[in-house]
Amino acid sequence: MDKTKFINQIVDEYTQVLYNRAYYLLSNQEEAEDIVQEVFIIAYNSIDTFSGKSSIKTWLFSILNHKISDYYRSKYRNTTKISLDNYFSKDESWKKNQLISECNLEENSVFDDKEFISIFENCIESLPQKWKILVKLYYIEEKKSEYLSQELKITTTNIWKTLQRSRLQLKDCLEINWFKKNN
Amino acid sequence: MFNKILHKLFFTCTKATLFIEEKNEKKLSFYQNFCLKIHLFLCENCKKYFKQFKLINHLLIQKSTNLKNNINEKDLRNLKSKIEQKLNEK
Repeated sequence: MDKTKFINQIVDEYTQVLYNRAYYLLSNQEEAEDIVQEVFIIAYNSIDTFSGKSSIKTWLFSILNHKISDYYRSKYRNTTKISLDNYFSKDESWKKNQLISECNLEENSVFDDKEFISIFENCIESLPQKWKILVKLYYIEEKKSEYLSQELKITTTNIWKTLQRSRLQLKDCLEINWFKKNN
Repeated sequence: MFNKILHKLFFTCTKATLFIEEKNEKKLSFYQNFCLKIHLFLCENCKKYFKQFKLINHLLIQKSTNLKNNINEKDLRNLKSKIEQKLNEK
């Protein structure tokens, strides 16, 4: 098939899904659009090497994830130490002021509660960008820290520490905006 | 006093919450797994945190597999045109 025709076809078919993933990861329309454009340029330039072993969607998503990793590395090259001082005292036990509500997953399922989901989404978006991208990428890559470690050029320990710190912040956000009001 | 013994024998709470992250992805060693289980059994706060951890984990998995549409028809058309234009310049 004609290369140009093929590319135009995949632009038509996959721009939306690529954009949605890019926007989810970067939370910025302009940056998401730029990255999607770059993905198609790379796809165009490397189309002859596309073996067809994976689906086109998988191939494009893999290019996108590489671009996001490049973006992350260039923007957050220097890793700063992650502090847990807000949560744990010097002896590494929970600080007395830390609220941790009882959360029963079986009763009153919050997974279908639109208000809760909306609150949770806001909590994710309020994470610092550097942690937010990593957390989202981690889950999009189906929790493969070794792979992510190579892509982002950070250690797996740093990945887990970032996840730990982000989750503690998400916990706090849910405590304030949901558990305290609904328990 | 109890906390001191708990931390000396079966991890501090900081370590326990970090091991929960690791365990979410891969198998811990027998010793790490054993100590974590005992810590979670004895530490009320970490027990409650672990439940919230599972909730947040589930939500993040759900979120990453169900991305919503964030682009309207007009912006999508414009983006596709921009891409096609750039590719045609090649």
